Amino acid sequence: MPTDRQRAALRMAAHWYAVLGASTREEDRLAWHEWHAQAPENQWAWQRLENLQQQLQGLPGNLAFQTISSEWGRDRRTVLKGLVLLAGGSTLAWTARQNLPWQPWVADQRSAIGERRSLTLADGSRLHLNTASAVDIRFDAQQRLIELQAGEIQVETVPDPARPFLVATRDGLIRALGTRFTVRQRKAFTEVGVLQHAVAVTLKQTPQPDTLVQAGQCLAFDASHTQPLRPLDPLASEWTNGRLVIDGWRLADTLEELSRYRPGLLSCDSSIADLRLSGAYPLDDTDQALAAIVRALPVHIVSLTRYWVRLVPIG
Amino acid sequence: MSNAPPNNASAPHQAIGLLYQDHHGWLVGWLRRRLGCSHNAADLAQDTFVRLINGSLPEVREPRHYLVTVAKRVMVDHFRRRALERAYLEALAQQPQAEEVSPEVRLQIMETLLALDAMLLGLGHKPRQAFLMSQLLGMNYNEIAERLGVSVSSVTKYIAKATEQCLLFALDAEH
Repeated sequence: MPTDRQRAALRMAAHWYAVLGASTREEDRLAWHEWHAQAPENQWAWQRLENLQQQLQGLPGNLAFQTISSEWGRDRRTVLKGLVLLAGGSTLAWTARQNLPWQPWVADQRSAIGERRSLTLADGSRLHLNTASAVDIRFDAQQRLIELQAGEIQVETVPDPARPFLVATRDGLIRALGTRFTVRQRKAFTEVGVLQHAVAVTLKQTPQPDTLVQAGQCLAFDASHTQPLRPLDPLASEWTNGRLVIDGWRLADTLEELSRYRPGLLSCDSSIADLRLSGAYPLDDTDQALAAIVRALPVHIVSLTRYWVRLVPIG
Repeated sequence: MSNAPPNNASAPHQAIGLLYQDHHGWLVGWLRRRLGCSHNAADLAQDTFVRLINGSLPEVREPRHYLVTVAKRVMVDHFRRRALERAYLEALAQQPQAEEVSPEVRLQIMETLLALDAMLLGLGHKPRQAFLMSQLLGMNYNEIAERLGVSVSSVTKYIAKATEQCLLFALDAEH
């Protein structure tokens, strides 16, 4: 059960949050800092406040505001209009797909560092590109092929009995046997995580039978070896929602992951590399993510420029 | 890299398993009688058991009575969700540009909005609006003060109050 001290700390956290939101005075910041350092409950409370904040930051602001401030469902006609529009849209898309036969379709797509993109492919499948990613898309009569050159993608396929959906990486070929999965090209290997149904993985250099990866599983492989199947971290594909969500990660690993989303070098002192973090961080603003980390841990930022940032222990 | 907490099957889960075996069918019937056919009684029954799994199961003397208590809460949430989804569509229809989101993202938005709405329940109109304007619209205190016709120090108090309520609610919801 929550203790009175915890409740009191939350109350104070809310107070400080409101005060700091209005003030730019250094005294207030120092006073907050003193409070924060005073007791572990205070740090705990502040962390909870940040978690709440991050949860709310994931919302599309205007839309969320309008939704939650409106008196729900008052004007039914507008609602109906919305529903009809949605339904109409999908019918149209479906008809268009039915009438047009497949056509050879070639496209190369890139995303910059910190950028995430979502595309609808010629067959109606969806492709999400994470930061700093590159794919070549080759669709023809025999197959739907995506060559992952760099980075990470998530694919939601639509079924097409005539043409398999394939993702090729440096290490092998992934054949979709269902709908949704992520593929990440790492330095030394490829990682595939399956969210729905299954995929079959063929290694580039070893003529061994395909490895089947089922929903909820994750497989790392290079051109000649597969590692044992692991359970998929359900938070690993949160990037499609613009967030990095972690649970008990090492600081060093967290920074490594965040550094994918920003140019330059991001590192930490080895003495704090093993500190643990949990939280949700917005990927569109890694400065904010760093600020949240600094508030949560006994560390501070040393930065020469925006492109050289290092976290070091306090004191 | 990440460490998921171990997922132990434990005694409470077995207790819920028994509850499920003995009363699931009955609960579906109970829900169907109250909901009519346009709502899926089976889904709500499922949600009821999911809620039992996620919560702490007390010693239950009258299982059906207890199930109904939980199921009623699930029903209330279900109607709130439907109302919220309507409001969401309404807001979506009013957006100058169609915002496309995947079903997963939309589900997540709904979950967060429902949680937010529950957290703000019972708060006065102005504190609630001040909090939402600050959090969702990113307005500063001066802008909020002007919009609500109050002083900046009132806005600070509103935000503190709303934030406190959210934090305490979230804490209690976990226990």
